[in-house]
Amino acid sequence: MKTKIFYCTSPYPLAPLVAGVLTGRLPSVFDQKTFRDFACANNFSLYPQGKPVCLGISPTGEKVMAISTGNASINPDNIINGFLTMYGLGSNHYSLVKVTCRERFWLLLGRFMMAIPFLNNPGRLVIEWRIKKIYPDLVETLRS
Amino acid sequence: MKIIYHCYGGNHSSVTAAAVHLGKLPQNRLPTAGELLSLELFDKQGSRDIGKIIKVGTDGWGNDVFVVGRLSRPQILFNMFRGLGEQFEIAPEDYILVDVGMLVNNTMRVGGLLSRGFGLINIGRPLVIRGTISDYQKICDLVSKIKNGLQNGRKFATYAHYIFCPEVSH
Repeated sequence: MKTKIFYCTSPYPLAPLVAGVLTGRLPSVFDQKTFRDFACANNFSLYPQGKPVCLGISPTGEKVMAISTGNASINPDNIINGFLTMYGLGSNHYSLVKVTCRERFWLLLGRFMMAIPFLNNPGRLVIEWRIKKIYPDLVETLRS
Repeated sequence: MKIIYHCYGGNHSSVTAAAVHLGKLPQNRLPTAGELLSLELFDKQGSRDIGKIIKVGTDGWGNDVFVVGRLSRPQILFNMFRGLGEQFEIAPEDYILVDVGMLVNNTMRVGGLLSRGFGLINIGRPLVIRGTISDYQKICDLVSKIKNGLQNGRKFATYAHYIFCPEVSH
């Protein structure tokens, strides 16, 4: 089975969101409750940077994975390609999709606020506010 | 078995360690500046090459030796290797991640920043060579421990997803 790997270098894990939309775990229009449930279920507040998360099977029968490296500009595509090529896995085994991030400042601010106990909830709201704004762009990633 | 030496930029310490491992640099004496500069990857990679896993050669036991730069986030590299290995059924015993970054001294840091970060090669490269030579013995000790472990059939799997660096005698 071919694997589709979404990756991003945003402060907040956006790649799992796009992967969630593809697998049908998230709607294509932003819904606060579903988003919160999804974020809690995947432990977004303590997301392990760089760890691939499997989010199910896409409608076209591909395994869907997501990797978020936090705010590190470490070129995850180089590492993924390098590691899999090392073991003889090529483009017929997997495909890479980059999820771009436009709201880096606000997401980073939200993450910092969430790290401070009494600013946790406002930080979460800041992130939700910006995710709601960029959600159509994230969904658009699937169409492009 | 794949042996992957990694450091901040994949330019100096990891390249030196890989060269020592492959016998391209001597273990019984300090290398000269010319020997270091003759290495194909020494002080050559830019920021776009961060994360590229580059094969340097194959050692005498048939192990492939690679170098990679991972900035200051080794945990991302470990998480990715471990996670992708699980998803694509690659056993963690198949590779060893060796963190050479912790052997980097301040001279190498400043030299590397000037040479690779700001493009001031004339100032940065001599500094990084001096730094590499001053801590060369530590790199050799690390490589010796890895090679001894491989020769004795030591299992590295338990360390594969942690910052792996055997004790180095100073």
